[in-house]
Amino acid sequence: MSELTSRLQEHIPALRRYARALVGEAALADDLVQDCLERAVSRAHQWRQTGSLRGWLFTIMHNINANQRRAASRAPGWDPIERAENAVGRSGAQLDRLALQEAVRALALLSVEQRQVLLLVALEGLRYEEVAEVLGVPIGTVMSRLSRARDRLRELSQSGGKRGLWRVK
Amino acid sequence: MTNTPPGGAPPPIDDDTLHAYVDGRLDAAARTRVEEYLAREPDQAARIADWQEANEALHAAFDPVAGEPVPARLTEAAVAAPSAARPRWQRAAAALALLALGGAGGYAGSELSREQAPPAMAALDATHLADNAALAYRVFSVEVRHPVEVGADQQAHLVQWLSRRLGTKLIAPHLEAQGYRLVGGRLLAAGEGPAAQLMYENREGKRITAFVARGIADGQTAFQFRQQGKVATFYWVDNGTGYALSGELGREALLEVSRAVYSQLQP
Repeated sequence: MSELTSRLQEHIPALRRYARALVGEAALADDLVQDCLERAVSRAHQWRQTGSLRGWLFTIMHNINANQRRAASRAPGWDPIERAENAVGRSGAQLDRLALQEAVRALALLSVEQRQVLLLVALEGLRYEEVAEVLGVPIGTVMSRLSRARDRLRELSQSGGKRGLWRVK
Repeated sequence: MTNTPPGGAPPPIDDDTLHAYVDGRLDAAARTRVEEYLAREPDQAARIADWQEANEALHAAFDPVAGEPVPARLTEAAVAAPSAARPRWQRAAAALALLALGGAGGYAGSELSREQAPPAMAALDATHLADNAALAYRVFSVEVRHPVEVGADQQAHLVQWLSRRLGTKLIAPHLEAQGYRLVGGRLLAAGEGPAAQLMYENREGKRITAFVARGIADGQTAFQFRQQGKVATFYWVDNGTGYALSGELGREALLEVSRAVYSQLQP
Protein backbone atom coordinates (compact mmCIF):
# COMPACT_ATOMS: atom_id res chain seq x y z
CA MET A 1 0.00 0.00 0.00
CA SER A 2 2.76 2.41 0.91
CA GLU A 3 4.33 2.22 -2.58
CA LEU A 4 1.16 3.43 -4.21
CA THR A 5 0.74 6.00 -1.48
CA SER A 6 4.14 7.53 -2.05
CA ARG A 7 3.56 7.60 -5.79
CA LEU A 8 0.20 9.30 -5.26
CA GLN A 9 1.90 12.03 -3.24
CA GLU A 10 4.12 12.88 -6.20
CA HIS A 11 1.09 13.62 -8.34
CA ILE A 12 -0.75 15.89 -5.95
CA PRO A 13 0.95 19.12 -7.12
CA ALA A 14 0.03 18.50 -10.76
CA LEU A 15 -3.52 17.40 -9.85
CA ARG A 16 -3.97 20.61 -7.86
CA ARG A 17 -2.65 22.71 -10.72
CA TYR A 18 -5.00 21.09 -13.23
CA ALA A 19 -8.01 21.26 -10.91
CA ARG A 20 -7.39 24.93 -10.11
CA ALA A 21 -7.21 25.79 -13.79
CA LEU A 22 -10.28 23.69 -14.50
CA VAL A 23 -12.72 24.91 -11.85
CA GLY A 24 -11.18 28.26 -10.95
CA GLU A 25 -11.45 28.38 -7.18
CA ALA A 26 -8.84 27.00 -4.80
CA ALA A 27 -11.16 25.38 -2.26
CA LEU A 28 -13.37 23.75 -4.90
CA ALA A 29 -10.33 22.58 -6.80
CA ASP A 30 -8.84 20.96 -3.71
CA ASP A 31 -12.19 19.28 -2.99
CA LEU A 32 -11.96 17.76 -6.44
CA VAL A 33 -8.38 16.62 -5.82
CA GLN A 34 -9.38 15.13 -2.47
CA ASP A 35 -12.29 13.20 -4.01
CA CYS A 36 -9.93 12.00 -6.72
CA LEU A 37 -7.26 10.79 -4.27
CA GLU A 38 -9.79 9.04 -2.06
CA ARG A 39 -11.28 7.26 -5.00
CA ALA A 40 -7.81 6.28 -6.22
CA VAL A 41 -6.94 4.81 -2.82
CA SER A 42 -10.21 2.93 -2.66
CA ARG A 43 -9.72 1.56 -6.17
CA ALA A 44 -6.01 0.85 -5.93
CA HIS A 45 -6.61 -2.64 -7.27
CA GLN A 46 -7.87 -1.27 -10.58
CA TRP A 47 -4.76 0.64 -11.40
CA ARG A 48 -2.25 -2.11 -12.16
CA GLN A 49 -3.65 -2.97 -15.55
CA THR A 50 -3.84 0.57 -16.84
CA GLY A 51 -0.20 1.55 -16.69
CA SER A 52 0.31 5.29 -16.30
CA LEU A 53 -0.66 6.40 -12.82
CA ARG A 54 -0.94 9.99 -13.94
CA GLY A 55 -3.36 9.13 -16.76
CA TRP A 56 -5.42 7.04 -14.38
CA LEU A 57 -5.66 9.87 -11.85
CA PHE A 58 -6.71 12.41 -14.47
CA THR A 59 -9.33 9.96 -15.69
CA ILE A 60 -10.73 9.57 -12.18
CA MET A 61 -10.77 13.32 -11.72
CA HIS A 62 -12.50 13.83 -15.04
CA ASN A 63 -15.23 11.34 -14.15
CA ILE A 64 -15.84 12.90 -10.74
CA ASN A 65 -15.98 16.39 -12.20
CA ALA A 66 -18.36 15.29 -14.96
CA ASN A 67 -20.68 13.70 -12.39
CA GLN A 68 -20.62 16.80 -10.24
CA ARG A 69 -21.47 19.03 -13.16
CA ARG A 70 -24.31 16.71 -14.09
CA ALA A 71 -25.70 16.87 -10.57
CA ALA A 72 -25.93 20.65 -10.56
CA SER A 73 -27.15 20.71 -6.99
CA ARG A 74 -23.80 19.40 -5.80
CA ALA A 75 -21.97 22.28 -7.42
CA PRO A 76 -24.16 25.34 -6.92
CA GLY A 77 -23.32 28.41 -8.95
CA TRP A 78 -20.38 26.82 -10.69
CA ASP A 79 -19.03 29.89 -12.41
CA PRO A 80 -15.32 30.07 -13.09
CA ILE A 81 -15.52 33.56 -14.59
CA GLU A 82 -16.40 34.98 -11.20
CA ARG A 83 -13.43 33.24 -9.76
CA ALA A 84 -10.69 34.36 -12.10
CA GLU A 85 -9.26 36.70 -9.48
CA ASN A 86 -8.85 33.90 -6.99
CA ALA A 87 -7.56 31.34 -9.42
CA VAL A 88 -4.11 32.70 -10.09
CA GLY A 89 -1.65 30.94 -7.82
CA ARG A 90 -0.50 32.94 -4.85
CA SER A 91 3.15 33.03 -5.74
CA GLY A 92 2.12 34.19 -9.21
CA ALA A 93 1.35 37.51 -7.64
CA GLN A 94 4.61 39.09 -8.63
CA LEU A 95 4.26 38.27 -12.28
CA ASP A 96 2.06 40.56 -14.28
CA ARG A 97 -0.97 39.72 -12.25
CA LEU A 98 -3.45 41.63 -14.36
CA ALA A 99 -2.30 39.98 -17.56
CA LEU A 100 -2.57 36.58 -15.93
CA GLN A 101 -6.06 37.29 -14.62
CA GLU A 102 -7.00 38.28 -18.15
CA ALA A 103 -5.68 34.96 -19.42
CA VAL A 104 -7.57 33.06 -16.74
CA ARG A 105 -10.76 34.93 -17.53
CA ALA A 106 -10.41 34.03 -21.20
CA LEU A 107 -9.78 30.41 -20.20
CA ALA A 108 -13.01 30.45 -18.21
CA LEU A 109 -14.90 31.57 -21.32
CA LEU A 110 -14.02 28.37 -23.15
CA SER A 111 -16.44 25.48 -23.01
CA VAL A 112 -15.52 22.91 -20.36
CA GLU A 113 -14.68 20.41 -23.10
CA GLN A 114 -12.27 22.80 -24.78
CA ARG A 115 -10.74 23.84 -21.47
CA GLN A 116 -10.10 20.24 -20.42
CA VAL A 117 -8.29 19.40 -23.65
CA LEU A 118 -6.24 22.58 -23.65
CA LEU A 119 -5.18 22.18 -20.01
CA LEU A 120 -4.28 18.52 -20.29
CA VAL A 121 -2.17 19.23 -23.36
CA ALA A 122 -0.65 22.63 -22.68
CA LEU A 123 -0.45 22.71 -18.89
CA GLU A 124 -0.04 19.05 -17.96
CA GLY A 125 1.89 17.93 -21.02
CA LEU A 126 -0.16 14.81 -21.75
CA ARG A 127 0.22 13.26 -25.17
CA TYR A 128 -2.82 13.61 -27.44
CA GLU A 129 -3.55 9.86 -27.18
CA GLU A 130 -3.43 10.09 -23.39
CA VAL A 131 -5.90 13.00 -23.45
CA ALA A 132 -8.24 10.94 -25.64
CA GLU A 133 -8.06 8.11 -23.10
CA VAL A 134 -8.58 10.37 -20.08
CA LEU A 135 -11.62 12.05 -21.61
CA GLY A 136 -12.96 8.94 -23.31
CA VAL A 137 -13.24 10.56 -26.75
CA PRO A 138 -11.64 9.79 -30.12
CA ILE A 139 -8.32 11.47 -30.86
CA GLY A 140 -9.90 13.41 -33.74
CA THR A 141 -12.20 15.04 -31.21
CA VAL A 142 -9.22 15.94 -29.04
CA MET A 143 -7.49 17.64 -31.97
CA SER A 144 -10.53 19.58 -33.13
CA ARG A 145 -11.27 20.74 -29.57
CA LEU A 146 -7.67 21.80 -29.24
CA SER A 147 -7.86 23.88 -32.43
CA ARG A 148 -11.08 25.52 -31.30
CA ALA A 149 -9.72 26.20 -27.82
CA ARG A 150 -6.51 27.78 -29.05
CA ASP A 151 -8.17 29.87 -31.73
CA ARG A 152 -10.87 31.00 -29.31
CA LEU A 153 -8.29 32.11 -26.75
CA ARG A 154 -6.61 34.00 -29.55
CA GLU A 155 -9.82 35.84 -30.43
CA LEU A 156 -10.42 36.63 -26.78
CA SER A 157 -6.93 38.00 -26.25
CA GLN A 158 -7.30 40.19 -29.33
CA SER A 159 -10.76 41.46 -28.50
CA GLY A 160 -9.51 42.20 -24.99
CA GLY A 161 -7.63 45.18 -26.40
CA LYS A 162 -4.02 45.41 -27.42
CA ARG A 163 -2.08 42.53 -28.85
CA GLY A 164 0.33 40.60 -26.72
CA LEU A 165 -1.87 41.02 -23.69
CA TRP A 166 -0.60 37.87 -22.02
CA ARG A 167 3.05 38.28 -22.73
CA VAL A 168 4.84 37.03 -19.65
CA LYS A 169 8.39 37.39 -20.83
CA MET B 1 -3.36 32.36 -45.50
CA THR B 2 -4.31 31.52 -49.10
CA ASN B 3 -1.52 33.42 -50.83
CA THR B 4 0.45 30.63 -52.47
CA PRO B 5 4.08 31.53 -52.89
CA PRO B 6 5.44 31.09 -56.43
CA GLY B 7 7.64 28.22 -57.46
CA GLY B 8 5.49 25.26 -56.35
CA ALA B 9 5.90 25.49 -52.59
CA PRO B 10 5.29 22.36 -50.47
CA PRO B 11 1.68 21.78 -49.44
CA PRO B 12 0.32 23.61 -46.40
CA ILE B 13 0.78 22.04 -42.98
CA ASP B 14 -2.32 20.85 -41.16
CA ASP B 15 -3.48 21.94 -37.71
CA ASP B 16 -2.56 18.62 -36.09
CA THR B 17 1.07 19.14 -37.07
CA LEU B 18 0.98 22.76 -35.93
CA HIS B 19 -0.28 21.66 -32.50
CA ALA B 20 2.45 19.04 -32.31
CA TYR B 21 4.94 21.78 -33.14
CA VAL B 22 3.66 24.07 -30.39
CA ASP B 23 3.60 21.18 -27.90
CA GLY B 24 7.14 20.07 -28.69
CA ARG B 25 6.10 16.71 -30.17
CA LEU B 26 7.94 16.94 -33.48
CA ASP B 27 11.38 15.66 -34.37
CA ALA B 28 13.99 18.06 -35.71
CA ALA B 29 13.21 17.44 -39.39
CA ALA B 30 9.48 18.03 -38.94
CA ARG B 31 10.17 21.11 -36.84
CA THR B 32 12.29 22.55 -39.63
CA ARG B 33 9.50 21.91 -42.16
CA VAL B 34 7.03 23.74 -39.94
CA GLU B 35 9.40 26.64 -39.40
CA GLU B 36 9.94 26.99 -43.14
CA TYR B 37 6.21 26.94 -43.64
CA LEU B 38 5.64 29.59 -40.97
CA ALA B 39 8.33 31.78 -42.54
CA ARG B 40 6.26 31.73 -45.75
CA GLU B 41 2.88 32.22 -44.05
CA PRO B 42 2.84 35.24 -41.74
CA ASP B 43 -0.83 34.74 -40.78
CA GLN B 44 -0.15 31.21 -39.62
CA ALA B 45 3.03 32.35 -37.90
CA ALA B 46 1.05 34.94 -35.91
CA ARG B 47 -1.50 32.27 -35.01
CA ILE B 48 1.18 29.88 -33.79
CA ALA B 49 2.91 32.65 -31.84
CA ASP B 50 -0.39 33.31 -30.06
CA TRP B 51 -0.84 29.61 -29.30
CA GLN B 52 2.65 29.55 -27.79
CA GLU B 53 1.97 32.67 -25.82
CA ALA B 54 -1.21 31.16 -24.40
CA ASN B 55 0.80 28.07 -23.34
CA GLU B 56 3.21 30.29 -21.46
CA ALA B 57 0.43 32.30 -19.87
CA LEU B 58 -1.20 29.09 -18.60
CA HIS B 59 2.05 27.92 -17.07
CA ALA B 60 2.76 31.31 -15.57
CA ALA B 61 -0.73 31.46 -14.05
CA PHE B 62 -0.94 27.92 -12.71
CA ASP B 63 2.54 26.47 -12.22
CA PRO B 64 2.80 28.33 -8.91
CA VAL B 65 -0.16 26.24 -7.69
CA ALA B 66 1.98 23.12 -8.09
CA GLY B 67 4.66 24.80 -6.00
CA GLU B 68 2.36 25.65 -3.10
CA PRO B 69 2.56 23.53 0.04
CA VAL B 70 0.09 20.65 -0.28
CA PRO B 71 -2.79 20.98 2.22
CA ALA B 72 -2.71 18.27 4.86
CA ARG B 73 -6.20 17.03 3.97
CA LEU B 74 -4.88 16.04 0.54
CA THR B 75 -1.74 14.35 1.81
CA GLU B 76 -3.96 12.39 4.17
CA ALA B 77 -6.50 11.55 1.48
CA ALA B 78 -3.74 9.87 -0.51
CA VAL B 79 -2.78 7.74 2.48
CA ALA B 80 -5.94 6.86 4.34
CA ALA B 81 -9.12 5.13 3.36
CA PRO B 82 -11.98 7.59 2.81
CA SER B 83 -12.91 9.51 5.94
CA ALA B 84 -15.95 8.85 8.08
CA ALA B 85 -17.73 11.76 6.42
CA ARG B 86 -17.97 9.73 3.25
CA PRO B 87 -21.11 7.76 2.44
CA ARG B 88 -21.04 4.33 3.99
CA TRP B 89 -21.05 2.42 0.70
CA GLN B 90 -17.86 4.20 -0.26
CA ARG B 91 -16.21 3.20 2.99
CA ALA B 92 -17.33 -0.36 2.41
CA ALA B 93 -15.88 -0.28 -1.08
CA ALA B 94 -12.59 0.99 0.32
CA ALA B 95 -12.51 -1.77 2.90
CA LEU B 96 -13.14 -4.33 0.16
CA ALA B 97 -10.33 -2.89 -1.90
CA LEU B 98 -7.97 -3.18 1.05
CA LEU B 99 -9.07 -6.74 1.64
CA ALA B 100 -8.55 -7.55 -1.99
CA LEU B 101 -5.01 -6.23 -1.80
CA GLY B 102 -4.21 -8.05 1.43
CA GLY B 103 -6.11 -11.22 0.59
CA ALA B 104 -4.02 -12.14 -2.40
CA GLY B 105 -1.03 -12.47 -0.13
CA GLY B 106 2.36 -12.90 -1.73
CA TYR B 107 0.94 -12.30 -5.16
CA ALA B 108 -0.33 -8.86 -4.23
CA GLY B 109 2.98 -8.12 -2.60
CA SER B 110 4.95 -8.82 -5.72
CA GLU B 111 2.50 -6.81 -7.82
CA LEU B 112 2.90 -3.87 -5.50
CA SER B 113 6.65 -3.90 -5.72
CA ARG B 114 6.27 -3.82 -9.47
CA GLU B 115 4.22 -0.63 -9.08
CA GLN B 116 7.28 0.99 -7.59
CA ALA B 117 9.23 0.75 -10.81
CA PRO B 118 9.04 3.90 -12.92
CA PRO B 119 6.37 3.49 -15.61
CA ALA B 120 7.98 3.39 -19.03
CA MET B 121 5.26 5.21 -20.93
CA ALA B 122 4.98 8.10 -18.51
CA ALA B 123 8.62 9.17 -18.56
CA LEU B 124 9.61 12.63 -19.67
CA ASP B 125 12.04 12.72 -22.56
CA ALA B 126 15.14 14.89 -22.52
CA THR B 127 13.74 17.49 -24.92
CA HIS B 128 10.73 18.01 -22.70
CA LEU B 129 13.05 18.34 -19.75
CA ALA B 130 14.82 21.16 -21.59
CA ASP B 131 11.49 22.81 -22.47
CA ASN B 132 10.31 22.59 -18.86
CA ALA B 133 13.61 24.02 -17.67
CA ALA B 134 13.50 26.94 -20.11
CA LEU B 135 9.91 27.72 -19.19
CA ALA B 136 10.65 27.60 -15.48
CA TYR B 137 13.59 29.89 -16.11
CA ARG B 138 11.39 32.38 -17.95
CA VAL B 139 8.72 32.34 -15.27
CA PHE B 140 10.92 32.64 -12.19
CA SER B 141 14.09 34.46 -13.28
CA VAL B 142 12.09 37.68 -13.64
CA GLU B 143 10.79 37.43 -10.09
CA VAL B 144 12.10 40.28 -8.00
CA ARG B 145 10.76 39.56 -4.55
CA HIS B 146 10.15 35.82 -4.67
CA PRO B 147 12.58 34.25 -7.12
CA VAL B 148 12.92 31.19 -4.89
CA GLU B 149 10.93 29.34 -2.25
CA VAL B 150 13.87 28.66 0.03
CA GLY B 151 16.85 31.00 0.05
CA ALA B 152 20.55 30.19 0.00
CA ASP B 153 20.75 31.32 3.63
CA GLN B 154 19.05 27.99 4.43
CA GLN B 155 21.11 25.97 1.99
CA ALA B 156 21.30 22.81 4.09
CA HIS B 157 17.53 22.74 4.50
CA LEU B 158 17.01 23.54 0.82
CA VAL B 159 19.21 20.70 -0.41
CA GLN B 160 17.74 18.23 2.07
CA TRP B 161 14.16 19.19 1.22
CA LEU B 162 14.61 19.00 -2.56
CA SER B 163 16.60 15.76 -2.27
CA ARG B 164 13.78 14.21 -0.27
CA ARG B 165 11.08 15.31 -2.72
CA LEU B 166 13.07 14.20 -5.75
CA GLY B 167 14.11 10.96 -4.11
CA THR B 168 17.72 11.46 -5.09
CA LYS B 169 20.68 13.12 -3.45
CA LEU B 170 20.84 16.62 -4.85
CA ILE B 171 23.82 18.91 -4.52
CA ALA B 172 23.93 22.65 -5.10
CA PRO B 173 26.99 23.15 -7.32
CA HIS B 174 29.46 25.92 -6.46
CA LEU B 175 29.66 28.37 -9.33
CA GLU B 176 31.60 31.17 -7.69
CA ALA B 177 34.49 30.55 -10.08
CA GLN B 178 32.11 31.33 -12.93
CA GLY B 179 30.86 34.43 -11.13
CA TYR B 180 27.53 33.04 -9.88
CA ARG B 181 26.29 32.64 -6.35
CA LEU B 182 23.33 30.54 -5.22
CA VAL B 183 20.09 32.49 -4.67
CA GLY B 184 18.03 29.48 -3.58
CA GLY B 185 15.63 26.98 -5.02
CA ARG B 186 12.08 25.81 -5.45
CA LEU B 187 10.08 22.65 -6.04
CA LEU B 188 8.22 22.37 -9.34
CA ALA B 189 6.43 19.72 -11.34
CA ALA B 190 7.71 18.29 -14.61
CA GLY B 191 5.85 15.59 -16.47
CA GLU B 192 4.87 12.91 -13.99
CA GLY B 193 6.95 13.96 -11.05
CA PRO B 194 8.65 16.62 -9.01
CA ALA B 195 11.49 18.77 -10.26
CA ALA B 196 13.90 21.09 -8.51
CA GLN B 197 15.02 24.47 -9.71
CA LEU B 198 18.14 26.10 -8.28
CA MET B 199 18.73 29.73 -9.14
CA TYR B 200 22.07 31.51 -9.35
CA GLU B 201 22.86 35.15 -9.88
CA ASN B 202 26.02 37.04 -10.85
CA ARG B 203 27.07 40.50 -9.74
CA GLU B 204 25.19 42.19 -12.57
CA GLY B 205 22.01 40.46 -11.43
CA LYS B 206 22.03 38.08 -14.41
CA ARG B 207 20.40 34.82 -13.44
CA ILE B 208 20.81 31.24 -14.50
CA THR B 209 18.89 28.21 -13.29
CA ALA B 210 19.71 24.57 -12.82
CA PHE B 211 16.71 22.28 -13.29
CA VAL B 212 16.77 18.68 -12.09
CA ALA B 213 14.15 15.97 -12.61
CA ARG B 214 14.16 12.19 -12.33
CA GLY B 215 12.60 9.52 -14.49
CA ILE B 216 13.88 10.92 -17.79
CA ALA B 217 13.35 8.44 -20.59
CA ASP B 218 16.80 8.63 -22.13
CA GLY B 219 19.05 6.77 -19.70
CA GLN B 220 22.18 8.61 -20.75
CA THR B 221 22.90 11.51 -23.06
CA ALA B 222 25.80 13.78 -23.87
CA PHE B 223 25.43 17.54 -23.52
CA GLN B 224 22.68 18.83 -25.75
CA PHE B 225 21.80 22.40 -26.56
CA ARG B 226 18.47 24.07 -27.13
CA GLN B 227 17.73 27.73 -27.85
CA GLN B 228 14.21 29.08 -27.31
CA GLY B 229 13.95 32.78 -27.96
CA LYS B 230 16.56 34.37 -25.74
CA VAL B 231 16.79 31.43 -23.40
CA ALA B 232 19.61 28.96 -23.98
CA THR B 233 19.62 25.56 -22.31
CA PHE B 234 22.29 22.89 -22.03
CA TYR B 235 20.93 19.59 -20.80
CA TRP B 236 22.03 16.04 -20.20
CA VAL B 237 20.76 12.84 -18.65
CA ASP B 238 22.66 10.67 -16.25
CA ASN B 239 21.11 7.39 -15.06
CA GLY B 240 17.61 8.68 -15.68
CA THR B 241 18.18 11.95 -13.83
CA GLY B 242 18.00 14.97 -16.11
CA TYR B 243 19.88 18.21 -15.60
CA ALA B 244 19.29 21.42 -17.51
CA LEU B 245 21.11 24.73 -17.22
CA SER B 246 19.16 27.70 -18.60
CA GLY B 247 19.97 31.34 -18.97
CA GLU B 248 19.97 34.30 -21.30
CA LEU B 249 23.63 33.69 -22.00
CA GLY B 250 25.76 33.03 -25.02
CA ARG B 251 26.30 29.40 -25.85
CA GLU B 252 29.97 29.37 -24.86
CA ALA B 253 29.39 31.09 -21.52
CA LEU B 254 26.58 28.71 -20.66
CA LEU B 255 28.65 25.73 -21.75
CA GLU B 256 31.40 26.75 -19.34
CA VAL B 257 28.92 26.86 -16.45
CA SER B 258 27.36 23.56 -17.53
CA ARG B 259 30.76 21.87 -17.54
CA ALA B 260 31.40 23.16 -14.03
CA VAL B 261 28.07 21.77 -12.87
CA TYR B 262 28.64 18.47 -14.61
CA SER B 263 32.09 17.96 -13.11
CA GLN B 264 30.82 18.68 -9.60
CA LEU B 265 28.05 16.11 -9.96
CA GLN B 266 30.53 13.34 -10.69
CA PRO B 267 31.33 11.21 -7.65
